Amino acid sequence: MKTINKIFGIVLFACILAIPSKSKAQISLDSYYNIDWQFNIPLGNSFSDGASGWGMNFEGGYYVTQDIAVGAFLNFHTNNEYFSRRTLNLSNTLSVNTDQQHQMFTLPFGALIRYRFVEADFQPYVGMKLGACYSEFNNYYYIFMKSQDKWGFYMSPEVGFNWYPWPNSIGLHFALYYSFATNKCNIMTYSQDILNSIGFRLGLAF
Amino acid sequence: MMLFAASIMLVACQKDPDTDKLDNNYLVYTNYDAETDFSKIESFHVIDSILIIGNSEKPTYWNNSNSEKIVNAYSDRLEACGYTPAATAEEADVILQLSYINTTYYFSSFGPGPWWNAYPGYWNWGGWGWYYPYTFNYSYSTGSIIAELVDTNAPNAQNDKLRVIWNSYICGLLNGNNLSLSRTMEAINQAFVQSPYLKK
Repeated sequence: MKTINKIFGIVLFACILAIPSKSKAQISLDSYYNIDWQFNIPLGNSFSDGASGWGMNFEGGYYVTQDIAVGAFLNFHTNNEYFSRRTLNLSNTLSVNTDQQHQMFTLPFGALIRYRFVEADFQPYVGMKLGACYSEFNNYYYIFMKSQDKWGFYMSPEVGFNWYPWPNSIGLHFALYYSFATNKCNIMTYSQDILNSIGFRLGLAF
Repeated sequence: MMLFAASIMLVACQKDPDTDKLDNNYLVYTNYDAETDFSKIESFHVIDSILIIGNSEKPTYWNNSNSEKIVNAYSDRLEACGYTPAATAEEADVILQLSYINTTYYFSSFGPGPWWNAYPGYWNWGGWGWYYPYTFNYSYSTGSIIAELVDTNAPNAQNDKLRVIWNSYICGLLNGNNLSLSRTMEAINQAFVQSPYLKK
């Protein structure tokens, strides 16, 4: 957590230095940046469906028209789930009895498009993120671990707003999202073909 | 550029799982030969010594009150499955051989393949030897017990190797540096609970 806070501080400072100041509530009128804390809820995930706030989102866009922005994003998230002691049938004849700690780490990144409804201090928007998703699936049991790394296609529509309540300063960002990724997982008796999740992001807007 | 720099830094931000939730008790693997009809087994014999797998070139055996309790636990469970104890290995349809992993030296120093080929003094019945008719790929650790049920009725015992028709591998038996006998008994019981095909 200390590491995340440190990185958060560095990126925030870099953002403030990099963006030219204008006499409007929003620091830059033709671009935006968001840095968010992220809360993610996996849907129907047999490997790890524990909701968690262990994630962050970074994105930025340039307004190619007054209301449409294109840009890039990167976010990451970790979802853990504990499985109590049980017997798993690993094959027709092989069984194992143990408890387990599952961990799912996802790191999607790619391009985004955003449409804001108004250019004002309060800017509601809809957006779509498309890209690749790197994922790690780890199963810890006793002193052992089984792990898989997978890549997949990522798509995530979202709605939210950037709100700039103070002149020439940073604002606030909030978004609700749904995400879909084609990453597959097959560890022990746990199999997952796609990753569905919903969540929200709360952070800063520049 | 800023996002790229951030991405490099953030790859390392994966949250470690809370492995404290794991109970750190035993782990029990069992496997068996699907070709074997376990209901046709009449008698069994459990070898009364437990082979210690360490880093010694000479075979050593575990013989004290704890090992006796472990041997008796396996024997009691096999009897509860409906099989009859035999006084000697020669009289039994199946033999249960027990090994205790004191160190994993012999598992890490001899590449892939059956590790017992490299271990001096591992069980070797009448010079015939034996084999697993099924594949297995376990991760071994110290403080573990391997139990192997060997079928003595090979088609032609003088020429053919004997088959291991069931095995269990239980680990997590150490409490500090000492064996937890209660946990061992629980794990032995679990090995039979998850092997319902062991039935007369």
